[in-house]
Amino acid sequence: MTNNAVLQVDRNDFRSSRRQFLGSAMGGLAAGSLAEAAARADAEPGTRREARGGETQGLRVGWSMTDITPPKPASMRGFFKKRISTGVRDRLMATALALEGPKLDGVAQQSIQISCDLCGVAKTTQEDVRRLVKKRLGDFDVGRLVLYATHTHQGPYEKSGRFGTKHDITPQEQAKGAMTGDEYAALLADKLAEAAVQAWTGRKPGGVSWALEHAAAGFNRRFVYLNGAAKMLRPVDTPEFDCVEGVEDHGLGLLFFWDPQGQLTGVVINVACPAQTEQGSTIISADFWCEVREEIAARHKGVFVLPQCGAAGDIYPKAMFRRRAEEAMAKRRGIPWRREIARRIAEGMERALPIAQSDVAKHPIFRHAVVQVNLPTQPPSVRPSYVCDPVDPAECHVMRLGDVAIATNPFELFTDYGIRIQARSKATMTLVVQLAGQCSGYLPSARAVRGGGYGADKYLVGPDGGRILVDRTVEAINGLYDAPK
Amino acid sequence: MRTCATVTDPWWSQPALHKEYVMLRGVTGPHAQRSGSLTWRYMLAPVAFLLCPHGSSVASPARELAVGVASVDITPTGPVALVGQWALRISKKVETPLTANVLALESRKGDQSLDAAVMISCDLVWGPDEILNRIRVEVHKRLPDLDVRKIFLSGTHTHTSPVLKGGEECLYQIPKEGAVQVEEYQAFLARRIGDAVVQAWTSRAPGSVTWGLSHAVVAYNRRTVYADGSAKMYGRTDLPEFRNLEAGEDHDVGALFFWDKAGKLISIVVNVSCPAQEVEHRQTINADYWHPVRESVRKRYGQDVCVLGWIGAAGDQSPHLRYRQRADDRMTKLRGLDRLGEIARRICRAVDEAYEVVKDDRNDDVSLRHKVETLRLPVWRVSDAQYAEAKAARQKYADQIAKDAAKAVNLYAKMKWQEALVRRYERQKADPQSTFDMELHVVRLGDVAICTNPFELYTDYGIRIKARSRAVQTFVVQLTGGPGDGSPYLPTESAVRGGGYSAMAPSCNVGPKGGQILVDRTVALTNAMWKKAN
Repeated sequence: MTNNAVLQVDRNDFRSSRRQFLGSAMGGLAAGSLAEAAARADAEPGTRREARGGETQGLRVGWSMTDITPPKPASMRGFFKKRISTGVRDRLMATALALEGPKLDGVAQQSIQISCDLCGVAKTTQEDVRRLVKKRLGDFDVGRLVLYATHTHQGPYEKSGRFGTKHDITPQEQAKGAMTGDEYAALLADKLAEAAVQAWTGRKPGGVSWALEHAAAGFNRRFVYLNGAAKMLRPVDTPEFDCVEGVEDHGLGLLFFWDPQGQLTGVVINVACPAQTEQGSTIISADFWCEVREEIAARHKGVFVLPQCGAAGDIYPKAMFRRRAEEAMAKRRGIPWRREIARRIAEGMERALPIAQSDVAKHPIFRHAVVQVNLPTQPPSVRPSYVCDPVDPAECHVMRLGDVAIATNPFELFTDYGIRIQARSKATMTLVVQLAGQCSGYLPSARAVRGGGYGADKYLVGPDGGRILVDRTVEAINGLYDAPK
Repeated sequence: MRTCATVTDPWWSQPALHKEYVMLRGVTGPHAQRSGSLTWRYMLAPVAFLLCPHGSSVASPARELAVGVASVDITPTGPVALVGQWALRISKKVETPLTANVLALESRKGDQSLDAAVMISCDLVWGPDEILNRIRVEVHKRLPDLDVRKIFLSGTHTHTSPVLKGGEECLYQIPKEGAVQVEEYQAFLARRIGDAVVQAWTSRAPGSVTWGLSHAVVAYNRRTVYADGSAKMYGRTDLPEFRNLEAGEDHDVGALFFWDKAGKLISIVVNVSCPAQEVEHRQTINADYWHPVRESVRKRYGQDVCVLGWIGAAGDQSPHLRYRQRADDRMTKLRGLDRLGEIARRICRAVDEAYEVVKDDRNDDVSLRHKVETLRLPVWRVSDAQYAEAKAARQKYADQIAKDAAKAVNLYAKMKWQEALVRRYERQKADPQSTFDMELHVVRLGDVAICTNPFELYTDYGIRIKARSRAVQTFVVQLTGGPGDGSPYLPTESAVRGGGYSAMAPSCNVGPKGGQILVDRTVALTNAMWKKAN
């Protein structure tokens, strides 16, 4: 009954999102911006010389963005209850960043990263995109393409069968206009492949700079009680409350990309916080990244935003123990909570921008290693009910871009692991990116497993695997810094 | 008219009943006080009613908040022994002044004083009872009508400030020549701060207040946990054995803004859960990050603005970077700042951000209530083994110093610390029921609660208090009162499991059991203030 009602929603809702303007505007502006950047690059003597030389001597950067909002009602991923979308609050976007550096020992140094406003990306999605891109780009090694997700819980399943069949669209629902996960998967792969191709073919000489700022966006959501048990998002205003289980990483990692004229073309924003301020409605939304893009677009027209979610398996964008004060402040500002999170991120970026602008590298060392890591897994009886992509091996991408390392993993990785990687990395700044390449569920820390509770009771890979993941990631990062420059 | 006011006023605001909520240390217990107050309450209410035939139809004066502020320089007048490190350090120069900042608040209704709070924040390692008592004596002489128990003193924990404990319990062998002596500095402090309290109190005038919340990453958890379960303060994090920082951080920046009646901003209170010890190893006088914070705040808001720095629960926190240091350092350098400047930038940005949001939300009719009581906490028992170890260590250091007096510079404090532990053990043997008695202040100011404790309180406890508090915003202020000795930490259970300095009996007068009692009592006092309407 409920689902029937859901499916009767006018599909115009999906086309008439009040925020649709943003995607369109950004797309239009983006194209213009790239064209202008290209024209400016051609007019720039130093760049032209490099182009005539036949090989890039510096970094080449390409951007694109595409709308991946499901055009029909779709089953939504993120909660145990089946939800079929009934409308669109704001558009889901995927942003692609293509990077190419000079060859090293004859090996092309290249990457395409695509950040998606999705809960996760299945391994098959990445494989599909690679297959499509391979057909169109002869000069790109598709093994260097990696997808990742912002973890919005207001997006569609990227494929059917990700929660057994419980959340799949039934034939009856399909007959009434809903799209299956597999239908969406095909659409998504096409869109992402197109975005990858656009970014790659549009790459131009560019510079990069980086900055570290801070934004209190993510808060630890696991609470330990005096009996030693841990629970996710349970009350803390009780005498039994002991402590917040782990730490939070309020670092805001920023990579700014510039065209040869010194114009900002795009920014990578790494925040250790999943995009899940929204709580299980049936409305499609990119969550706070929509507002982040709006905030940045208002200040920097046409600049691409590539969101990265840092290690944040135990993190949530709401503070529980000072919630009333936080909400009161947002109310005094006259903005909803997700806008408040976006404000913190966007203002953090603004504070860093002048610093980043003063220190742009046009010829940073760029290297990209793909590491296959075999990780020990839990027996099936203690695995989660949702599908976890296999980790034999798990694919991790490790990149060096000057002083900055980017290291991906396929998990909802608990913050402790992210801090371990950062602490041991030889990079000056390390951006850990979770939910990349595939979805392999939570990877809880040992202390979380001791406490139990959701996120740390059923998992594919546990602390032993976490240790291996950290060690191999650190080894790979440091290898990029140890090698001859 | 005033009698009528007592009818409509909440019962707790009646001066005649002040004894109910002011529990003098060692004088009487909370239950006896409470029952007494009820007696008075029921006795007075009908009398007041009879004296007020028109009841609520008679207009009563509005409640108002009176605010007074004062700042005073407490920089020692000459070289002084510095507190906070094992080695004796005699200050070589004054890099920044040390100040004490006083905020006096009184809630009034007409001529009637409803309640008061006098809050002093000092650029000192803590705000020990010994100094506070001297200040109270000084103030009482000059302001006999002020209930001096409503004064509390907190320290920002700067480790580049003078030693405060002298006599037999002094940790350092301070030369008699060439350094200001502890007793001399104590007298100087009491006189200076006493003057400031008098000035703040006598200058109080109608004003308004609001609160704000923002965030700044200043503190990092300084306890590192390794694969074998052990924990170490400032342990390295770039090792394969590193597992996690032991506990969380609290990056809240709480702020209170006070204006005078003319709308001029006169004071800002800033609550940061991070001790001011970034430059803790220097051999200079330095207020640490609070100095550039004050400079920056005054530059923006006016040179007269009185800035109080309150340190939240931060026994396991430090401003020293624990990971990602090179990235932080590079940003600081590119900004043209040093580390203190960078910390100040973060805090001041948070204050500015909060101010912009709340600056028009000024309240001059707010509830001010201030409860003071003595809380008796179980002492963390020194074990027989720890006693034996301390005794041996004490002797070892004494022997080394006896052989080579020059070694006293580095070893004397260690010897005295072990000696204190031996004495503590002997006291607990003599009096097994002995308790750690602390003065607990809980202030309600409108939507805000302010709770004090004398410890280097682990952050988890502060979070427990905040989580359970009924106040919209809760300020936890550590290092307020207390003995000012070498065992100020109050660690959590998990910290005790990890062990290490700051989480074992020798460095803690009180353990996790006492921590929970502190939390429970603080929460109970706080929440009781929200049970009744203003």
